[in-house]
Amino acid sequence: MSSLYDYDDRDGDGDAAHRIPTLVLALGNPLRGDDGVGAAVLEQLEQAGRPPSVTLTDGGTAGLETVLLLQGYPRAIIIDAAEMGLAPGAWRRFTLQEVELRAADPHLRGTIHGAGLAEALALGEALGILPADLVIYGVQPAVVGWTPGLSEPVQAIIPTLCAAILDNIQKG
Amino acid sequence: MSATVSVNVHHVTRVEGHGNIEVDVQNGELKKCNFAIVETPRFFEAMLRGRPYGEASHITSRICGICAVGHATTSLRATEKALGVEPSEQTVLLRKLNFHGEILDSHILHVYMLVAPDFLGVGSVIPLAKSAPDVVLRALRMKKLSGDICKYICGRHTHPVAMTVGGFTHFPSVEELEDLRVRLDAVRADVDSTVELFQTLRIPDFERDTEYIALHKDDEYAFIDGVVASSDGGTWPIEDYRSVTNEHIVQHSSAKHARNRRESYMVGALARFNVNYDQLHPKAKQAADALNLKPKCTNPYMNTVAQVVEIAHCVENSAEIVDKLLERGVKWEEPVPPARLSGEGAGSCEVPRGILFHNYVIEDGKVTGANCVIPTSQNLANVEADMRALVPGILDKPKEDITLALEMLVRAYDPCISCSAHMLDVKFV
Repeated sequence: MSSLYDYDDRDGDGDAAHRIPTLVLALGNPLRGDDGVGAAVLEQLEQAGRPPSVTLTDGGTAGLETVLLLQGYPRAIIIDAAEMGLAPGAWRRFTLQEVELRAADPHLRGTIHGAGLAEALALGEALGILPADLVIYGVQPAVVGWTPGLSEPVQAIIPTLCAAILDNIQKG
Repeated sequence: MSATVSVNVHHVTRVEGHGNIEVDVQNGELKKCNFAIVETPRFFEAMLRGRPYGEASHITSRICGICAVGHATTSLRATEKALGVEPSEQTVLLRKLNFHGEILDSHILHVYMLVAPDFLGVGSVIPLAKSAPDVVLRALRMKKLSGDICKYICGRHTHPVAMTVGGFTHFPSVEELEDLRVRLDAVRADVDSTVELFQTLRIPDFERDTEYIALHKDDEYAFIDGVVASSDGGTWPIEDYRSVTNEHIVQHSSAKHARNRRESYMVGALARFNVNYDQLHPKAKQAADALNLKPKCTNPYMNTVAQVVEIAHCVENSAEIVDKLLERGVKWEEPVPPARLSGEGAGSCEVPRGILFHNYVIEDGKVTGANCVIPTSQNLANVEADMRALVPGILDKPKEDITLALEMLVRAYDPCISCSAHMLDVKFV
C-alpha cells in the first residue's frame, strides 16, 4: 500500500496541491451494509498515513451540522454511498455543479429532523461557507440492509477508490 | 357571519412526522376542526415483550431520534423502580447534564430552524441562511455544543450507548468536562442573542386557558423524576400516571388523545414554565422578563418563547453541574445491580415536548408488559381545542392567513410525530 507520505514535498514546491488543508469526510452507517463504504475508505486512508494538511473525519450519519465540519477548509472530499442507478461497486467523482442532489427535502420545509448530506450542502451553500473545492465520491451500493459489512463488489473497489482519492489530494 | 372556509393542510411542514390540519366552516359554523395524525402505529410496547430488561432503554430510545436520551432515561427509571435500583449521586448528576444537552439540542432546532422562519417571513431556514447567516450559524454552533454534551456523557446523542440500568458504562474525562465548561461560558453570548432575537418577533395574540401538566420538584426545575402536577391544582405520584393521562382513542388519529380535569391539557415547555416558574434559574427568569413571559401564560404560541427561557435555564444549570463534577471528580463506577428480577415500575421525565411516561412489568429479568405515553399524543386534544377557539376569531382573514395561523399553532407545540431515514439520491445532469 502506498503511503500519503510518498507525496511529500521533496522539491520544496510549497504551493503543491497536497499542502492545501483538506478535509476527507466519510458519511454513512457501517451497520447498514454498503452504507459503510465511507468508513471503510477512511480506515484504509488512515493506514496509509496522513500528511498534516489532511484531516480524516467520520461524519457518521451527521445531519445539518455537517456544514460545520466543512467550514473553514479550502478543500473537502466527501465519500458516501449514493444511489446513481449504476452497477454495484461503480463509483463516480463529481462536484456539486455536475449533479442534482435529490434531497428528500431540498428547501428544508419539511421535518429537517432527518436532514442528510443533500440538505446540509443546500444549507452550506446558502450560508456561503462551503469549501471552494468540494468533490464527492459516490459509490453505488449493492445492499443497504440491516447488517454490517460491505458487499463483494463494493469491497473490491476500495483500493482503487483510495488510490484515486490520494491522487486527488496530490494533484488537486 | 356567513363565512365558508375549508382548510386542508396535508401535511403540516416543519414539524416532525406526518399530520394534517382539517378545518371546515359552513356558513360561519365550525363543522370540522381536526389535527389528524396519519402515521402508522409503531408497536414499540409489543417489541419490548420478552426482551431482557437491560435492552429496554436501547430499544425504546429508537422511538425518537430527537429525544433518544429522554426515552432512554425514562426507560431506565421505570426499570430501576421495578427492580429496586437506586442510582448513585454521580449517576444522577451525569444524567441531568446529559438530559440538558438533549433539551438544548431539541429546543434550538425548534426555535431557530422550525419556528423562526415563520416570524421572519421566510418559508424555511434556507432563505434565512441567505438573509441572516449569523442567526443560522449561531443556531448550528449552539446545537453542536448540545450534541457534544451528550457525546461526552453517553457516547453519542442519538441513541445513547453508555447509559445502563444503575449507571453508566463510560465516563467523561476531565478534559472533556473542561472543554464543556469553556464552551458553556462562551455560549452565554449566544443565549443573550437568542433572547434578543425573540424579543423582536411578534407572537400572535391568542389566549385560551387550559390545564397545564408537568413534573414538579420543590428543590429544582424538574426534568427527571418528581411528582405529576397540574396548574388546576393537585399532584399525583408517577405510578398513578394513568389517572392523569386517561388515554382514549379518537377516529381521526392513529395516536391516542388524553384528558385529565378538563377536556384536554397541555404539556411541554409552557406547561413546565407555568407549573415550575419558581424553580427556574435566576438567569432564565431574567430571560422570561425580557421576553414578557409570565406565569400563568395561556397563549399556546408562547410555548416557543418558554423554550427560549429553558435554553437559558439549561445552559446555566449545565455549567453548574459541570463545576460540581469537576470539583468532586468523576470516578469509574460499576452500575448498581438490581435488588430483584421481578417487579413493576413507572418512570417519568420532562422530555423537550413534555411529560413522558414509561411503565414496565418485568418477570424473571424479562419485560412482560410495557406502556409508553408520549407528550405529543397528550397534546393532540389540546391542539384541537385551541384550533376550535382560534378559527372563529380569524374567519374574516384570507384563507392563506387562516392556514398560516393554524400551522404556526401546530408548530408552536413542537409535535414529534415519528422519525424517518434518508439516503443520498443523485441524478446526473
